[in-house]
Amino acid sequence: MNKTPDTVSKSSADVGAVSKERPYTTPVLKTWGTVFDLTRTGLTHPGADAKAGSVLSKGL
Amino acid sequence: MSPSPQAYLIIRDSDKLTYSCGLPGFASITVDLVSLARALSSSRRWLELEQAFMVVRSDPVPMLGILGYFDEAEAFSVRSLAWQIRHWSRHLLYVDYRRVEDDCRQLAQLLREKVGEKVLTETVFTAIPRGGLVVLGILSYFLGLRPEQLRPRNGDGCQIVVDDCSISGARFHEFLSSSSAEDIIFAHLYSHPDLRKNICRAEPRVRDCLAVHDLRDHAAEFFGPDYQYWQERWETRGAAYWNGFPERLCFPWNETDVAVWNSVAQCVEPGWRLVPPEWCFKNQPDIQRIQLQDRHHGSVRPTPGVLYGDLGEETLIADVTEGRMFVLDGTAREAWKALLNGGSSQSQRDIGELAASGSRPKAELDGYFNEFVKARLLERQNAY
Repeated sequence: MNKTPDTVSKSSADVGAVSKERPYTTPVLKTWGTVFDLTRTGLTHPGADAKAGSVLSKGL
Repeated sequence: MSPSPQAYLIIRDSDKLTYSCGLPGFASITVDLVSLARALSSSRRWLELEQAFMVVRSDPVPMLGILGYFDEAEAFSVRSLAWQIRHWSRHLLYVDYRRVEDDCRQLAQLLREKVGEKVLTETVFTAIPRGGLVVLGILSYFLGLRPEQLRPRNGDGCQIVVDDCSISGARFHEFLSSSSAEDIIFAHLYSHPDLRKNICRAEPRVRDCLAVHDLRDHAAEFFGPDYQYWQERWETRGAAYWNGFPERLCFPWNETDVAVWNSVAQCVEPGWRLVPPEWCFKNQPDIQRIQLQDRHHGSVRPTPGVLYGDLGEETLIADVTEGRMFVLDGTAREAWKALLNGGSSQSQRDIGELAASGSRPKAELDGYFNEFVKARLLERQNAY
């Protein structure tokens, strides 16, 4: 899965250092991705080009 | 595939959904969010969304969401779910077993009136799989059919073809394409009158087309000014005998198809299945990708707007209240899980094992906790 390095939380534990006195750094969270609230679409019908039943084409 | 994750909030603030058409004589169905997720997971389209999972949160605010990685065509399919749930929850005709029995009794009477008792005793009956087999089985008892009338037979004579319903007529068209019968009566329980008219007009081999109940077409009111163009569009997309938008029928064995145009992929795809298997046994769920976010009993829990779940080696977190999303992996992911497991000593040991020798697991856990709290993803249990 592709992702950019700055989009996940990072901590010193990720580094896997073996030194005895590994410096501790506070993890930092960064947002990544998008949230869509489909409950707010009101009475519109996005993506509603539809019909009941099957069709004869190989689309189904 | 899109490089960034997406989260879609499908249901919020309600722990159940009721399907009802408001017509007398038809049962309404009330399903909880887990059952709804099971129904959705039986959809053919869901099987193709391989990098996605559903999550149901029950407390304190009931929510159902779909999280994952989607290309544009897949995202379109998920977005179309919103109107499908909203529309079909008010236009679903659930035909329970009692109603099926009554409908079959009426179909038997209709055949006696239209075809005549004498002809019925000489006629071969056949069913369109699979719903038609159920109806024909019941019908055979009401009509007192002999077993030999239900065996396939080549030759002359009238053949009565039975189905549970006919919406576009696609299945009946397929049947005709593979049948050499020259004298056919198509009998079923539900269809629109225009469909039956169109079949009789288009197929000289069809003597009559009979149904017990008429469906109503809501296309004009649903599509409004776009209605005419909608008709023209679907004429070019493999129309069978009739294009319409009636109530969606659901029998205990099958939920009827809906064809949806995916304008990104430029193809027709099947609509989402909405009725859980306890009401419609065709809809067998794919429970592997349904995750439950139950009440957390530890000292910390996700804030009320958070949905999260695992996808491969990652944990995806969506804060639907603030419209933000996060992805955790590695130690961050383990810290998230350990904190939600109560911040117990075992959890801390888990973190300690993950960290290199000489690290400070307690400090690690505290650091993550502070960061998650600062980001308003976690809070202490007594916070609300």
